[in-house]
Amino acid sequence: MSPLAKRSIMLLVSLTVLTGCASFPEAEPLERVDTGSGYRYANLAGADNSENLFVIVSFSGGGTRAAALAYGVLETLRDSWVEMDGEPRNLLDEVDVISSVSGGSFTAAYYGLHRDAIFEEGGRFQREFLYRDVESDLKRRLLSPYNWARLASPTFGRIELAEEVYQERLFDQASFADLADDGRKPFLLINATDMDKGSQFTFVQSQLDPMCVDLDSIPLSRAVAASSNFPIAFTPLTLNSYPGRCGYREPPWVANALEGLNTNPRRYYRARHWQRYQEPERDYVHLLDGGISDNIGLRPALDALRAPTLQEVEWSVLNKMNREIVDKLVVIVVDAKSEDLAADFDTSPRSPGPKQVINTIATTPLANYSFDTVELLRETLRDREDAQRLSLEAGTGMHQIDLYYIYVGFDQLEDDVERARFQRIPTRFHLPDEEVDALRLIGAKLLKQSPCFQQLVGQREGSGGRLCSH
Amino acid sequence: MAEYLKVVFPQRREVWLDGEPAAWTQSVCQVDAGWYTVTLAPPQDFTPECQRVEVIDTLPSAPLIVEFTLKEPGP
Repeated sequence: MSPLAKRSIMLLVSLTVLTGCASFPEAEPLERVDTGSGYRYANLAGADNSENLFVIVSFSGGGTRAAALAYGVLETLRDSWVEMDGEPRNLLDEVDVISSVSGGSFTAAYYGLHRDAIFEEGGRFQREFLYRDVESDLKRRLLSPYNWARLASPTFGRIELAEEVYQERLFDQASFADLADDGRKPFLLINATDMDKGSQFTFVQSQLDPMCVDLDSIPLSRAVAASSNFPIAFTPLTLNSYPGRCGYREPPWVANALEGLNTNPRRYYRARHWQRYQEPERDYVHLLDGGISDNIGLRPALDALRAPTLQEVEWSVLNKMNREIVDKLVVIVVDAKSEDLAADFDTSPRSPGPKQVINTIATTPLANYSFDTVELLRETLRDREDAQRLSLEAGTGMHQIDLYYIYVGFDQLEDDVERARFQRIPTRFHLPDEEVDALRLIGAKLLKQSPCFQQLVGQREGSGGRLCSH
Repeated sequence: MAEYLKVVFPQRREVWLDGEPAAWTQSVCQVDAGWYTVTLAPPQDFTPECQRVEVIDTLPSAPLIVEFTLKEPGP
């Protein structure tokens, strides 16, 4: 046999071995459901975070634009103080829940894992993500012949390569076990989309209980990859499921909700989806970008404001309001939505081309849904304010809570030129340094200019028991 | 859909919904529309043991009233 033939055979064998070996990292099964362990809201300590002030922060999708805007908001929260029972409390320490999607999930997960280290100037988060050309990292990995062989495997896709980049650059081997061991708030809700059900999939143990999956075994890099798994660019991310193998018992709310298709279809379908995770033949779940089901990351907060029990939503803020634990509720929405201001097809009688049509199909439903989600939150809080007022007048004794809705979005910028500048920043994983700097600053500016934020931090008079929403 | 429920009992006691603490007696609580199993926190000195109710078409000023009474002391 000629040396060339030998080399060819060896190469072929190596590639076959590589293809055969390449597979997604498997999540481990949960031996038994134990609500006293794992990454659950109830297992986090609250010593330095009082629940009478309950703070929810949501970070939207939008690549590095969203990550940097979220970062600027975190910096401002770190530097802000609220008075609770006569004592000054750091506002960032008071955050109970951060719910994130896609680009926002990088900032949320890194902060959850490394806390104040995220703020280090020139530190790892800034160096390896915020100011880095992550797109080039992803492309380099994709163009490596070694990875071509791995990608030939049906159980190893481009999303696994992306996960490897995020692991190497940001998260190392950290998993949800590290968050659970740390045991401190905020409770992180890293959101993806379940392809099969079209519903939100959140990386918390209670979501994985019916699947009998141990969240502790899942790397943070994998959750962030799922959350930012932009369709087509990446392949769907596969998670194992081991239904029926951990003694999981369906909570009572599911049976009650299934009787209410006509009275409460939202609750009914949530229960239906919950049940489907227990179907014995479903050994896998396939995940896409969290932005597909909710690009604001606000849906978990809406669920927590509707569900009255912790078995339905483990951090149900409504439960804590009804039990008179929460006196002040703050929801900070960080929305990095962009706007296609360059679209000029209405200036011509010609029909827009396929590229423009595809762009409209891909972005318009998502943008409209996000808009409605934000409005739904505002309406939910307004309804609560009305209910409190009516109850007070009727003397029916509803717990009176101060409500704060704070929206951080580019459309709040009054200056047309400045607003257009930020709305035009594209959704990418690489932005020029000066854009990242500007996004950090504008995140801080938008938060600080919010009258409700000023009221919260004591720079303006409050209005007890009322909703502040501007 | 926000709905409203008020559990009445002679004492201030925790109200349990679907088997877990969820509100207080004598105060209006907000719930999502639908069916719930309502009971009170121990001691088991109340009757009935639990009540299954559907909470719909309520107002904060006109909540669904669910009443529990103290059990008669045994002989």
